[in-house]
Formats: sequence, structure tokens, C-alpha cells
Amino acid sequence: MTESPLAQFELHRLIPLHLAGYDISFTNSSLMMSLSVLVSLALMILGGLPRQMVPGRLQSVAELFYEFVANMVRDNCGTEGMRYMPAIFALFLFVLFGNVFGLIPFSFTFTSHIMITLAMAATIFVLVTILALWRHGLHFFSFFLPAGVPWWMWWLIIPIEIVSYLSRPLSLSVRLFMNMFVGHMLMFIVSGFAITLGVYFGGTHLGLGILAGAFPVLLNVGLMFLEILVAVLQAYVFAVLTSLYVKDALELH
Amino acid sequence: MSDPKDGDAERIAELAARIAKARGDEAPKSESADDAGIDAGGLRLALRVGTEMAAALVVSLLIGWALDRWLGTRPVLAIVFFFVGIGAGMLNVYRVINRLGLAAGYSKPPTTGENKTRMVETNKDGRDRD
Repeated sequence: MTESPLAQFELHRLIPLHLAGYDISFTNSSLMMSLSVLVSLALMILGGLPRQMVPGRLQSVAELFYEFVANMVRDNCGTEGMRYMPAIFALFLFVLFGNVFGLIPFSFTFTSHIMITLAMAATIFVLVTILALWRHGLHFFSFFLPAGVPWWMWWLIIPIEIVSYLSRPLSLSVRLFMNMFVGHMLMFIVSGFAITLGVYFGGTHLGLGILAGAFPVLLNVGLMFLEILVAVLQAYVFAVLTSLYVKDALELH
Repeated sequence: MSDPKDGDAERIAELAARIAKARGDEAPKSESADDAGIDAGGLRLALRVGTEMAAALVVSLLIGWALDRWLGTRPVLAIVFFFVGIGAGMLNVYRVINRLGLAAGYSKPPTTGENKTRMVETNKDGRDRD
């Protein structure tokens, strides 16, 4: 009955697989990731098939997502950055559906694992750095020296700028991971109060117990709305930050 | 009417102007939605600032620790990089608060754009002149 609040983040092997000494089992996390990919693919393909001038329901949803991300990338990176919009769009849909499907009871939120968000952020970081090196060559390293810094401050500014640059993937991944993790944990703990309070007050009077137990449930309803907001907002923030990084790689200063 | 192509060009130009106008009207909306992450409340801001500081410090300490292991100078470099990490964390926070973007070395002088809305506008003007 008293399950750990962390139990909801546990991985379960659905299809055990082993390859060359590595455990590559298909877990509940993999299941949710596949689901997220499949749903985003299905939405964009099925939504794109009708090609109506006046969109139907599904096409309208697909266009809404597309235009939302396209405008965001255009605002942040300019028209040149639109070349990288498909990648940012795919990332946005993946994270969005991961966050939202994670809110369905008894499902699993893969974005609540630091390893997954860190892997995504590290991939973005490496690709953006390669992009910047490819576009600007060795001029990229002027990135670490803001204009107008006197030469006798270089020894201090350069390490600080390098650390600031290297801390990007961590802050990007921790933000998403922390928001999802804390939200799910909070909801579990609040729902646990329903049983504790109900049993405690139900011992003295049954009606009082039901009343006391109902309060955390109502609180959880409110939290659920908040979590839906956070799930969408964090996917958006992830995509915005990615496009900001792409912009920096394209323009440097 | 006698020259349909000319009329089309005019209409296309007019349409482009209307699209640009519609985008211009929409842009502040999306900007405010973007800034919602910053303005939505003190808690969100605190979380964000805390993440930035902690991330810089953790990365910096890891670099110091790894360099120490490599050079065998334990614990000198870890201590040095601890302070560098504090500096980088403050720099990150400064950039988040200033809304100059979250990037290293991204130091636009404040005269060209104090916030993103104005920077977008100046960019747009520059493109139009070209």
C-alpha cells in the first residue's frame, strides 16, 4: 500500500534483450518513446495527407503544430535557421508527446529520466557545436571572448565563457527533467495524503474522514491542470532553447 | 486589367505586405508567450536561475576534478574551477535576466537591442533595406 514515490519512475523490462554483454531490453520507457514517435509521425502524415485548402480537424491540428514551431524558429533564428526547423520540430513533438502521455495514469514519463534528457541535450550540444565549427571554422573560438574585453582580463573571462558554454547541455536537460520529475512526485505524494488523512480522520468519524480524504484529491485535480501546462511549456522551452543555440551557431555574435 | 501579369504582381506584392503585417501583429504575441517562462512568476524564475547556477558549478567542478586526476594536482584545480564555476553561473544568470539569450559570448551591446522584440524588428528592417 505504501509504495515509494519513486516507484513510478522504475524501468521494467517488457522484452528482455541482450547484445554483446549489454542489456538493451525493450522497457516501458522504450515503449513510451516508440509511442511518442509513432503518434507524432501518424499525426503529421495523416494530417498532411488530405491537403485541403480549408483544413479538416486532423489537418488543422497538424498545421497548428507546424506553424507554431515554424514561427518560433523564424522569430528566433531568422529565415536562415528554417533549414534546421525540421529537426527542432521533431524534437518538440517527441518531447511534447512524451510529457503529455506521461500524465496518463499508469503510463510512464520518459522525460522524467535525466539520462534521456541529457542524451538529447548532449546530442543537440554536439551537433550545434559542429554546425558552428563548420560554418565559421576557427573563428568559432572567438565565441569565448566577448568583444571589448581588455587583454589583461582574458585569463579570467575565457575559462568562465568556456564553462558557461559547456554548462548549456546540463542546464537544458536538468530543466526538463526536473520539471517532469518534481511534478509527478508531487502528485503522487499529494494523492498519498488522501489515504493517510482519510484513515486518520475516518477513525473518529466516517464523514470527517471522507471530507479530509477528498481535499487532497481536489488539490490533485488542480495539480493535474498545472502539470498539463508544465508538460506543454517545457516542451516549448526545450525547443526555444534549441533554436536559440542554433541561432548562436549561425550568427556567433 | 489589360495586363493581367502586372495586376498579379501588384496583388502578390500586396499579399506579401499583408502577410508581413499579419506576422508583425502576431510577433509581439509569440514574444510575450516566450517571455512567459521568465515572467510567469517568481518561482519559475528562481528555478531557472538556480538551474543555471548549479549547472555551471557542476560542470566546472567536473572539469576541475577531471583535470586534477589527469595532472595529479588534486585538489588545486578543483578549487580553482569551483570559483570559475561561480563566475560562469553568475554570467549565465545575468544573461537569463538580461534576456540577451543564454549563450556564451553572446554580448550584443545594449544599444542595438535591449530585448528580443526590438532585435527582431531591427533584423527585419535590415533585411528590407537589402
